[in-house]
Amino acid sequence: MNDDELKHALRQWKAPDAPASLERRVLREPWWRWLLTGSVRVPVPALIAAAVLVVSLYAVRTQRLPISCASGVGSMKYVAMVVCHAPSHYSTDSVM
Amino acid sequence: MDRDEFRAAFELHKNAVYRFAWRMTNSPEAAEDVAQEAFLSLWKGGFDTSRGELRGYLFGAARNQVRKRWRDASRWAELDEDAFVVPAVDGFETSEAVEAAVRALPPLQREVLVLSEYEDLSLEEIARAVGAEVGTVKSRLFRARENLRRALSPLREVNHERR
Repeated sequence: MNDDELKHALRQWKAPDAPASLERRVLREPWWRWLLTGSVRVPVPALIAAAVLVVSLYAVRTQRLPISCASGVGSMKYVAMVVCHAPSHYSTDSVM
Repeated sequence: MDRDEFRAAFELHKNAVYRFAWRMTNSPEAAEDVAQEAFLSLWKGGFDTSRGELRGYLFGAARNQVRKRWRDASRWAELDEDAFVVPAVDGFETSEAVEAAVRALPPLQREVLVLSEYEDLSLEEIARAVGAEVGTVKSRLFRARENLRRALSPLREVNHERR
């Protein structure tokens, strides 16, 4: 393979031009423009983990709501029982 | 260097610096990082015209970033490898074969070849960018071309058969 043939072969391998994201990174446009046009690269495992976390939190929250109501009623009952069956020395007379 | 000068320099050289980084790193993401660092070093450090051409400076900065990455990945151990022989590439299209052969070159041979063949830098500019003597650059370039001739010889045979 002579010099010309080698040169010709080497020219077959093309490289891409700089992507637009390089310009954004180097010239640092205002932050509000980034909010309109920017993109974020997120690793897939992190994305899956975040999605699982959000779904789990939502599921736990929706399941807890009735329980918290019941426990609220229970604690009110308990308070009522304490008040009803309080020993005599806790009576309002002795406090007063 | 003010902001307008920097922007003009970026517009003029961004593609060449990115292409060089891309050919050296095999990765668009790494190439973008390298090109960004090269331009940021220009922005932070400025440029003195007595140091030669601006593009030579930028290629040098990009080359240092590539070298740093390779060193971190412990892949720069055998920089030049006089005795290194690129295996012959066969069964590829021409562009894929050339890519495989160039990427198989030892880094110091690859960088001078890329700067010479793809970015058309003179020997003096390459020497300044890679921090070596012109004679050393010539010698690396010669070895790189010899390696590529050997590696790409199957292509020549295929092309002759097609004719």
